[in-house]
Amino acid sequence: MKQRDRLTSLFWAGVGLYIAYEGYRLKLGTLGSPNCGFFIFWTGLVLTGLGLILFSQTLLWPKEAKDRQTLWEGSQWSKGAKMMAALLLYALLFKWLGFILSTFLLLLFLCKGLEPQKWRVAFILAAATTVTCYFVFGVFLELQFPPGLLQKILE
Amino acid sequence: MMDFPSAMQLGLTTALQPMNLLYCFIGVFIGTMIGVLPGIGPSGAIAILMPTTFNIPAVSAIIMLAGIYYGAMYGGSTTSILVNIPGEAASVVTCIDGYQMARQGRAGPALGISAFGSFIAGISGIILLSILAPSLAQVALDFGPPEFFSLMVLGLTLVIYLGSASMVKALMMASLGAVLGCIGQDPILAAPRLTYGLEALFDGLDLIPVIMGLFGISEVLLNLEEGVKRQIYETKIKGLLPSREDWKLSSKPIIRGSLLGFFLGVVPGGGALLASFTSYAIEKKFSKHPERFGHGAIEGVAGPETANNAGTMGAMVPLLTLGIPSNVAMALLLAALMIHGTPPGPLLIQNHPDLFWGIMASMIIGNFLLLLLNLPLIGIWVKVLKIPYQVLFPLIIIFCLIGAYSVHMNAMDILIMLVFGVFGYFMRKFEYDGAPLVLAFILAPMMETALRQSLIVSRGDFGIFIHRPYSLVALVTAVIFLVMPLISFLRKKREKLVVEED
Repeated sequence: MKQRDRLTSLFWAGVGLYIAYEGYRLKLGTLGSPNCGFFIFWTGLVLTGLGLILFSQTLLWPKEAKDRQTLWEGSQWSKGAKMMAALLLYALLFKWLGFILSTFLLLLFLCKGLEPQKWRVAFILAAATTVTCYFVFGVFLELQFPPGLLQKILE
Repeated sequence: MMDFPSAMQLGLTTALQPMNLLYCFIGVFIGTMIGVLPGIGPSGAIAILMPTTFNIPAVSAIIMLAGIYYGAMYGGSTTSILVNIPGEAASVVTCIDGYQMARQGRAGPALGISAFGSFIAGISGIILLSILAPSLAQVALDFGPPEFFSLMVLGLTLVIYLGSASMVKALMMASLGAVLGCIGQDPILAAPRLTYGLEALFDGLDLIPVIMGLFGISEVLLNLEEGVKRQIYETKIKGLLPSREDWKLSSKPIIRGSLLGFFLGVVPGGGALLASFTSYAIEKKFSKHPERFGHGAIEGVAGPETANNAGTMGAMVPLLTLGIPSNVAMALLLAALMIHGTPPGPLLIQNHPDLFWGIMASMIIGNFLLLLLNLPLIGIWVKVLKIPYQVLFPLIIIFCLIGAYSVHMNAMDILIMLVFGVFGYFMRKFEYDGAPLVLAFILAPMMETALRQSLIVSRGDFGIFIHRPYSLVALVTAVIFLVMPLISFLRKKREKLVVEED
């Protein structure tokens, strides 16, 4: 068993207890007439039970724990963090900025900010992808993208 | 029920309609491309493209989405042979001998036999599926809620047993997936559950943002931090048609792979991955010269490549006849069928014969198209292979964003996808498997309804699951598969203790 499983097993056991509590609050009903919370309550308890089994395994066989090094050792985790921050910003500004502007800016950041690309290449890639996506999804497949700021500027 | 020739005639009439032909081509083309490109699998591609099918007829939609699934298996072999990196998990085993063949200047015959083997598997799989599915659907017509509940328990158990390194962790993820599947309105009483007053959760979590987050975004996150390095073995691809000697060596592995792959594909959790690995092991065992395996044996390419394609056809059986998906891609096809108002199950063939037989016929056409796409156009796929990851990942991200948004035209779905992206990243870091979560997520509402209906009918007596033979068999089998790893684990521990004492 791995050392890190000890932490996650307790975490999931706790989550299971919370789910069971939520199920209990929704009302369990009876066996002959199960209510809204019946399935959720029992599934939560199963999750807790499994979490405790995993935890007990880590206690019973601790010798097998060989993963002392951290999960992020030698990895470029900051790239992923930057990308997620950019995607969060994209989701929040999507309606206000509109599809074209927000997508172009996001792509420019992904192409230039995360990987070493030349400005010209990043710009062309971002613009070409945005325009292609707009025509394929927005025009051809008729998905309703928010026009956003760009429309206001053009008006 | 229709006789087989009339049914196939109906299927061909449906599949040969120009629009359906076009969607079939788009499906297999995208499938091949997805198979060739790393960083996005068929499940992700189906999830991304599913919203684009909302406005087209159900038959065309499923023809295209199914095409992506089986097309990816063809494309996956190209990367295994030329780059030594499988484009798709089911092509992992092809790397062993396929890449060695490429290094010996025999990339052409390796690609050729894998395409021909895939084609033969596809066609024989469709024939087996056409024969088996209607009979199974006929049996399933007698099933009630207890049988369906037990079958879903069995399906989930098999997925967990066959596909996961840690059974406890996989069961935990299945439990979590089941709870996530319960978010939204209660299926019987229509009361909101676990919505916390958020309007976006009233209809429940949608499968598409969940899958895109778990498999698309998390994959990009991991690739970004680890870096994707690919080196294409520079070789001239010539002589795609295998020689007489190649055919002699490959014919039996292809036949065995077709049958084995199909029946392993029927088993939930089995599918293409298990089929390809089992086929490789069997071919090595059957071979008169097992020492050639690992050094460019063509049987090591022909068998697994045939088996993984046959496995994709086999996986359609439980989906189309029982409405039970055996893997994540099938879960997405289930969702697509439900969105189009044609829920899969025993009544699908009876109520929508054009849909069922249309899909069957389209798969025959799709396999012909794949043969044309994968042999004469191999040069294009080699060029696609050379697209650097720094160009590829922004495209994957944008497709995921558009796919998530297009479900309800709501940016909230993008946020949900991002949450599951981060969750999927940590899941992989801590070695928790995503497939049980997704399958439980999609099966949970059906399982819960079947469980509650069974208990209402039996007035709270759990004996209803034991008194019905099909249900009993399914539950006993599930218990056996659940207990088996525990017994083997305890036995190993005991043996270890005995050795230490000695």
